[in-house]
Amino acid sequence: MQRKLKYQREADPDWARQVSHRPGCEGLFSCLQCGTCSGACPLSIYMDLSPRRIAALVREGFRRDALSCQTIWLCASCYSCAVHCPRQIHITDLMYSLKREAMRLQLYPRRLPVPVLAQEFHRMVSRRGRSSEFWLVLRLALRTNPLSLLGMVRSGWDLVRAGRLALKRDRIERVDEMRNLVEAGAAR
Amino acid sequence: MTSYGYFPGCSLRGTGVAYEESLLALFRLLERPLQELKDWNCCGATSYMSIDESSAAKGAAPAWPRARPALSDRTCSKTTSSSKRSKES
Repeated sequence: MQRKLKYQREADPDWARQVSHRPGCEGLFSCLQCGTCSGACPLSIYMDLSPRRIAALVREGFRRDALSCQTIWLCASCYSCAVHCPRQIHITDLMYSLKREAMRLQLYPRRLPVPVLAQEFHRMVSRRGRSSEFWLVLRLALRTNPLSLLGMVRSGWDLVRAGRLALKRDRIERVDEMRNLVEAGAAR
Repeated sequence: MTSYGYFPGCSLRGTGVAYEESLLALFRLLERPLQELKDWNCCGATSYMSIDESSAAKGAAPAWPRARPALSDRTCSKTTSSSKRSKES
């Protein structure tokens, strides 16, 4: 059973300060905890922690809780929270910042397909310059739940027949040039 | 006649192909030809942003300048006007 109590000694206020210096996360400490973001979020009913709770956890410095939750990966970046926030906090930017950190520290939830999709998308675009949906879905399914492909056959076939699913793997002519530009000055 | 530079993006080559069809049909009807940018690359969407922010910004940028020689002098593009505007502000 998961412990719900939090101890102050597990919090890392330095990390919270660091986050608040990242671009887009500056308003973090002005959060009122009014919950408007959670109310405005169309996906909050599916989240394990509401956007308001994320802001509270980050602000107190509960790093692991904020980085290993599903919420940041369920965010569809619709910006509804940022639009409605009375303190003009860029909550979506905060979500993305947490996503990248969770990815870097390998803290993303293992059973969720969204982080894997991001990885596979990144890989495909870096290598070929474009994404091709058929191959993206195929690689995603093979890495998460290969059996789910069986359930997709029917709709996949319908999409192919309607000309909406290209089976060709697209690739730009000057991939090297694009890669040079993307990797220029990369400090990772 | 003025023609317009056009960036379809990966979606219009996949499940969003219907939007490309109607867009091209509309511009044919308006007699304003759309000229697809040569050798455009993916804009990165939101998935690229989840991995690396600076690469996402740099990846979205070359989609335009790399394609520039493909466009004639008389070609206008929404991209140029919007990038000029962002420089001014």
